[in-house]
Amino acid sequence: MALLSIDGLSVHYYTLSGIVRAVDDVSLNLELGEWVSIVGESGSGKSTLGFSTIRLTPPPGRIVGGSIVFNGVDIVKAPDSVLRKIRGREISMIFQDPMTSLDPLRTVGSQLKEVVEDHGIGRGKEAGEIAKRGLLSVGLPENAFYSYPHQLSGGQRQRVAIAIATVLRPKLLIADEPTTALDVIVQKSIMDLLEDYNRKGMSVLLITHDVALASERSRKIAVMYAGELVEFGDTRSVIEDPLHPYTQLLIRSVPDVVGEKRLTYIPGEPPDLRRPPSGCRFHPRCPFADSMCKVERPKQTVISGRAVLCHYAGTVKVRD
Amino acid sequence: MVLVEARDLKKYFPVEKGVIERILARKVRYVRAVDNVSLEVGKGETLALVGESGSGKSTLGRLLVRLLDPDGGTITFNGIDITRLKGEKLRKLRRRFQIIFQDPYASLNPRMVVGEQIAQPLTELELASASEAKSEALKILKSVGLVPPEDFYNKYPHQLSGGQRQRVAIARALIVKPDFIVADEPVSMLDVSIRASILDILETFKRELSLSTLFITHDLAVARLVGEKLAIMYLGKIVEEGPTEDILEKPLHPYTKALIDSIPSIRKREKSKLGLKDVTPDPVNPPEGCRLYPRCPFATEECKLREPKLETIKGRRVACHYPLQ
Repeated sequence: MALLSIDGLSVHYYTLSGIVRAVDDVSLNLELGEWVSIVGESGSGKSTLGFSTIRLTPPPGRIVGGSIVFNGVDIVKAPDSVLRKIRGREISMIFQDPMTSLDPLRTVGSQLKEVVEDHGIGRGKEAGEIAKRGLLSVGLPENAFYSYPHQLSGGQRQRVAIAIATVLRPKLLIADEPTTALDVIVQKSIMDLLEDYNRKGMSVLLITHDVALASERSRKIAVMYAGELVEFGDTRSVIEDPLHPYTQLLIRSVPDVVGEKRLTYIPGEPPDLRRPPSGCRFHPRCPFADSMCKVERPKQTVISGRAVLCHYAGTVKVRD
Repeated sequence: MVLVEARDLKKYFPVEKGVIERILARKVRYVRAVDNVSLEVGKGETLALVGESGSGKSTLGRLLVRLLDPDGGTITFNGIDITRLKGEKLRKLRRRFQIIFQDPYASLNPRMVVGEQIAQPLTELELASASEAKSEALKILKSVGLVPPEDFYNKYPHQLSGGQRQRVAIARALIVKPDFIVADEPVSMLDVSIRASILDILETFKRELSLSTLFITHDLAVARLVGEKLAIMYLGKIVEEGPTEDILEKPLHPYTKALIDSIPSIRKREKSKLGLKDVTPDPVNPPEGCRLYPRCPFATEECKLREPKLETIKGRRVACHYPLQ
């Protein structure tokens, strides 16, 4: 059985200028110990999906349909008391900017210790020891315990955030663009660290705009476009033989330091999700769109273990 | 032919002092953002300048277009020394070097329709009358792909997407037909699916105006797409410079190699990956000797004591005592 099973999830933002359909009928599974990456551009709904997984949808957003079953518990319907036990201990989360999640006026050590104490793992001196071990395990020196967040670099702060997120040994870590604000050399070391945790059994749900990063690190990739999950499957097959036209064009747009040099882009812009296009949401930018795509919303089809949201999945291929 | 040349350029920013330090009149400390940098950009050439945050790459770009005054060294533009140029003389030359910034949300005036913002440099520099400027603005709107131009002329920045705003910023910089532009991370805030469309526009202008460009980016993969030449900066210094493909294929400086090895790629690479130690360099007190030595796995006693000079090896400039083989 899957550790996390999201089924038909819809999340809408009720803004003054209309309803934003940020996540629309999204289904995906994550097995115990797996690393799944959700890839999408800005406004694709990937972060909303991440937050909603632990029911932290930022207002005015609301989960309007579907279920999120984690380890047998439906997160959407669970009472707050149950949810409080799951957050932090079973599922935890790290963000792009750790400075916003750390208290600037308290030492890193005391913040880490607090997490340990609040969840009843240890008290006083014992909690301090657990906290120190936590810092060591993310590769920070022991004296980081007494540092304030501003005394650390961006990479070190993200290590602290990871220490806090993993000290209770959660089953699942949701990482929302954890390295976007960091330089590439530091990014690599943070990703290596997450990979270590993943190897030791922690499942990872990485939310990123970086297809290349996702392709190097994850077992499965879920591609989102305009609030919908357009393709989901095993990383190698999604990258090497993408089935959805958006995935095909997206991968071709990614610049690389090796291989062929080309300037490829997708014409047009992502839609306004207050008024999503009729039919398939990608049809205004899709080179294969026909009259059916304009009118009829595609249903998810499964082709050799891959879920694809396209009327012509498997029959269309972007050529060079 | 060399269009822009910097020699031993320096920019030191004083570090803000606290009250106590000011009372005690402690010595002013400096961040050496750009420290003895020399580079050349040829006519019609794009030099990609790559570095991590804090490397001084943006400061260097601003120095070259005289938005910042250097603390040392010289800048020559088309044979003219512009290092200390002031007033009317500098204003006259401004037409010939322009800059495009990273954030098109911050660089455009929110209360002015974009057409007027694009036309403004022409009237401001007295290159055209108001009506000529307007027709030029409409023309350039079309060439940056904002069609129909009449519609876009009267739009405000908030009515445009990020990609469209960056097109406006490009149009405004290029309407005066400059010879040289500094493009400071022009696509970093844009989604990957539209990034190349902006690079495409810059490429077209480069060909049409035989434009010289200093393209500043933190992303080596983007640098590879735009620049025939590449310069890598670390803590205020250029550590390696040369033809882009040569460097990417066989970096000579350990820092360059670490950068290349750290970039995620969708194509499989079976290369040895060089990591650097996770030490945060302090730009106020940069290491003596080679600035990379606290992080470099190959560092020796010599690296700690003696600063390597940029030396020419195999058609490239490299600042390392032990360049990679």
